[in-house]
Amino acid sequence: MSDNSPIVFVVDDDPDVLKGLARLLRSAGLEVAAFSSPHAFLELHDSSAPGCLVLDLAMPGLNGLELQGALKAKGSAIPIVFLTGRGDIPMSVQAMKGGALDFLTKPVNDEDLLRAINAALEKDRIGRESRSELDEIQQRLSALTPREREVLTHVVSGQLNKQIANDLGTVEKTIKVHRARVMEKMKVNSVAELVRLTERLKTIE
Amino acid sequence: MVDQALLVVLGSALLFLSPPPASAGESPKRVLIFSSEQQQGPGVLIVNQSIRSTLKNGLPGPCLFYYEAQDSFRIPNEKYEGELVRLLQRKYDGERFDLIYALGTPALKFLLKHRGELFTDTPLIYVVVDQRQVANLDLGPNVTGVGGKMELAPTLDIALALQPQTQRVVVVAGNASADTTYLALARQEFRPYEGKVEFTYLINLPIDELKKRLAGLPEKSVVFYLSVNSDPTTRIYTSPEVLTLLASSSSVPIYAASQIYIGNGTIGGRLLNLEEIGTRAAEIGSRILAGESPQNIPSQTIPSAAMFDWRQLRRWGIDEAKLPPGSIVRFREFSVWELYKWRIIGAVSLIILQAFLIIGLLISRAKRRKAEEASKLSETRYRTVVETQTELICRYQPDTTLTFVNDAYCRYFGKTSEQLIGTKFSELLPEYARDAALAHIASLIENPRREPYEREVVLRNGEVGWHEWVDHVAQPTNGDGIELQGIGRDITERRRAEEELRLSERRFRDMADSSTILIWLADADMQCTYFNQRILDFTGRTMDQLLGEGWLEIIHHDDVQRCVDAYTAGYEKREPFVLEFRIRRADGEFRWIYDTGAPRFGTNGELLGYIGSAFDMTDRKAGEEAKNNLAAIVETSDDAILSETLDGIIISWNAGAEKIYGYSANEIVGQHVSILAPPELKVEVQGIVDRVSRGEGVDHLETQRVSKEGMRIDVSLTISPIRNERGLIMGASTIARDITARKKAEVEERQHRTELAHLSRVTMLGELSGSLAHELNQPLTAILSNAQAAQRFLAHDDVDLNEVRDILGDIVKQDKRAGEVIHRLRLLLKKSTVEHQPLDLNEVVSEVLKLVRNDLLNQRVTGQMELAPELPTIIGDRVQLEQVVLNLVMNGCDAIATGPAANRKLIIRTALNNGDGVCVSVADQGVGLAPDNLEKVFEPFFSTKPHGMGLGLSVCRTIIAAHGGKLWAANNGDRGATFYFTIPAQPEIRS
Repeated sequence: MSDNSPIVFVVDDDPDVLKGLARLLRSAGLEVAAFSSPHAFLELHDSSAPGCLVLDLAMPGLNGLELQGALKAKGSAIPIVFLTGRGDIPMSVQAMKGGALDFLTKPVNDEDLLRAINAALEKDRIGRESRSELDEIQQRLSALTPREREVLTHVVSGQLNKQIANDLGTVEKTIKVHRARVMEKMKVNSVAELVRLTERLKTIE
Repeated sequence: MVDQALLVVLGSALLFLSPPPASAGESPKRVLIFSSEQQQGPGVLIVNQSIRSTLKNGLPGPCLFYYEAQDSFRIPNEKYEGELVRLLQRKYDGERFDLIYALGTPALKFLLKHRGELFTDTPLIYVVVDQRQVANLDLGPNVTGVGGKMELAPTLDIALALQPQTQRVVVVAGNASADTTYLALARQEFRPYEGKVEFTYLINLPIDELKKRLAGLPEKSVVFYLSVNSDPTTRIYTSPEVLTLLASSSSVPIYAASQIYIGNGTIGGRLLNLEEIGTRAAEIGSRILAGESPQNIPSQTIPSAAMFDWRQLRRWGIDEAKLPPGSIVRFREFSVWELYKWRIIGAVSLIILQAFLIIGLLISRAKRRKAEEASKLSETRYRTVVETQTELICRYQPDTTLTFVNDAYCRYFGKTSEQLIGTKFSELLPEYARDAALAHIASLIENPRREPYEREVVLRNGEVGWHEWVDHVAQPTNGDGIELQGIGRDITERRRAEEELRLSERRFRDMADSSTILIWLADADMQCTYFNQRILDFTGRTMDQLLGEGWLEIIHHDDVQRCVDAYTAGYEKREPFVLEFRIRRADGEFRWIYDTGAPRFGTNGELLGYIGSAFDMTDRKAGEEAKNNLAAIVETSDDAILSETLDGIIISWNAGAEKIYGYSANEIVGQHVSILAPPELKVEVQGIVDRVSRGEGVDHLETQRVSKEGMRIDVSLTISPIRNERGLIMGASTIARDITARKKAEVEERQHRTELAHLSRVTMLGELSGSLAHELNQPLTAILSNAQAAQRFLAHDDVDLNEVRDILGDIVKQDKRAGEVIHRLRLLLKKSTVEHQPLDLNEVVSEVLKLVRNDLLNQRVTGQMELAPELPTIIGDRVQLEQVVLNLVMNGCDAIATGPAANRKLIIRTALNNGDGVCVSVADQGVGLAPDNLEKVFEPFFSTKPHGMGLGLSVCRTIIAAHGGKLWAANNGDRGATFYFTIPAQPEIRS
């Protein structure tokens, strides 16, 4: 798992279908990891690995939807592309609600599948990026003292230094100093940026 | 000097000869006949005769005939013509003729030439052979005539018609003046024929030469004889004589054209009718002599007539029928029969009549003889009778001393009267009878009477005989006391006969009474006089009760009239009769008896009565009735019932067999039974015959037979051996039922079931659509992905062909996989006819589970198989059995689909079924079945599902039943229900 190129995970209990899909994806230049057992996949899956999941819906033991639920419970945000033998509306709705990226019917056309996979990988990358960004922000935030954090809150609400000093019972200068420190620690150059960052954080909360 | 003398003589002769002048009315007519021919020439003769007789008959008065014959054929007139004229003048000077006939052309020419000098005004009638001969003559007034017509060509026609093969005609003629006329005519008339036949003219040949020529003529020739009045040699015959000479040796037939030749050897032809000519000439003569002028009488032509000589026709073999109609056939020779027909008939009739007379006389004589004999016989008999019936007469005293005996008495005892008189006749009696005799005499004396009595007597031969006497006390003849007179006769024979009769009657009675047959007698008045003991025992009646007409009481009421009628009819006709009727037995039961009555006749043929014998035939009747019933059953049965000998020959054939097979009894009895079997089954027939002769039958064998029209019939045969009373097998009886309809129904039902199964299957598969689609989808997906992968790989710069090869290999595999699914599907969906093959039920179950895998998944149901390791092979239809398992699995699935997850397991088991076949079970952990429904679910149209059709399980049951197994359901002990079915194994498979 040292490689950072994304991997497409394929889970289908039918070995022939599995082989075919794997080949197809490989022929498109993707990295593939194929699993015939959903349980096996679940155990081995490392949610920090980039990539996406191509998942057969109807499988004995643990079907696709259940796996989807299990992954979520595990905290994995890996995007899922569902494959199914029949286009069942209730099931597809459920899958989508559960966060699936796409829902394709077998037999699946290569372009459709690759498009979906690329979208999924993209989503994964973006997600990952977003997550790391957020971590960064979080780190920066955690470097703030509690006073600084207070000031941050007031600053992002658009108050003037004077007002903040008034609210916090100190003077403007102190607030200015705190503000400069917050800006420095948060590595932003403007209040607008700061606001943006805090807003970003809010999404995780 | 001489001349003058001659003249004077002639003149006086003439004077003398000249008749006195004719007195008016009575003077005879004078007719001169002037003939060309010699005096006795053949033609002249005929004509002369005709003329003379006709004139004689026709004229009122006498007629004188004068003849002058010129003989011009041999001596031509010209030689002495002048002298002839003068002669005639002198000869007939003073003679006046009333009429002159000129016979022949030369005569006519001569007379016409000298008409001025001779017989100037005398009427002249010419008679010529052919009218044409006078055509160019100047006849002058007072001349008329009759001519014939030589029909040479017509005669030739006839000749050619009678002998169509003719190629040559030989014409024979002399060269006398008469001949040349004919010759000229012939040449003229024959000219048209010269193209058709060859003509040879033999003219004026010597007769010998002619004979030779004619004898040597080839076939296909005929001779035409015209006339020969000349001969180069000195021998001269008349023309007919010449013909005669030639005809006898001619080798071919000779035709002629004149009547003078018929009879001389010619066949005939159209001949001049000289008679007719003569007659006609005479008629004309009559008229002229009567006063008519010849001017007013036109000359006549007499046609020839077809005339033939019968002898010549026969000689040359010519059929009379070919002759022209109206031909005259002369010289017919009659056979004796034809000539004397009536005389012969008369003679024969006479002979026959005489024969009959003779026979009649013989017969009557025989009869008479017989009658005489009969009368003699009867006389003898009579005499015998009389002599033996002479009565014995005697007189005797009370102590039996004989005082008088008659001849008969003496003769009877073989003694003389001297020997007898004075003896006691009691000595003639046997000892034991003597006292009785004396006692009788005493009683007679006391009580005079005349009455016959019988007494034993010793006969001459020492035996004891019997006499019948009538004795009475007579007047004493000589005052010697009482005398009795007796008249007696020998009745030994009679007594003996009576005794015999009595004996025989007793014998009869004994026999009759000891017989087991019912015997009865009736007299001539139809009254019953005797019933034997058996009848009395049988009916429990006494003789008195039955006598007369009492027996009618014991007859069954319904049969009485019939009996009386038959009885009466028999009596009337004096014929035997046979009756079957019921009589009441002593125990009250009515029994059928078979009664035969025969008439008895006396010596004179009078009816004495009837004797009858009868026996109890109830059992036989019952047997007959049973047989009749049986026969009726056989006849009215719709099934074919026939019987055959052990060799297979058909001996009986009922109406049902006629209907089914089409043969009538007449047609088929006597034929071999294999005629009914189709060619490939004739062996089967023989096999059956063999079985039957071993005593084995055949029971409901379903096979095929063939009708008369050649149509195949499905039949069910039941055949059993027929045994005679000794138990030996004599033949076979066959009952054949036409099961064509039933077979058809069976086939239809099977078809129906198959269709139903199919329908159910299809419906079921419809419900499986999710699974099916999935099953197909997987390989399709794999194929598509593989193929598109390959495409991409090929687009790379570095193509790994091995990889591509693998891909293609996998595609093929996937395609096959899909194909299998389709195939399996098709099998299931196919409305195929049932195919029974050896099957392993484990395989069947696995197949089914493969099919439903997806559906089970969708329903979150687990299908678990527990298959027994070594299942026996069973025979069955794969598709149908899969259908059953599928149905049970789907049902099980439905049962648990709505239940909690823990119980969503279906267990499908296969196991040995207690030593016979396989048992398959599908167990669920669902809600189970209500006890009432355990059987009801198998009923058609019963369903617990809201949308179910309810056919599945009933169809499954039918399928399993058709496999010889059973399908049932049972609730499980804990929860849920299990469906079981069994299929028996086929023992044949194990080998």
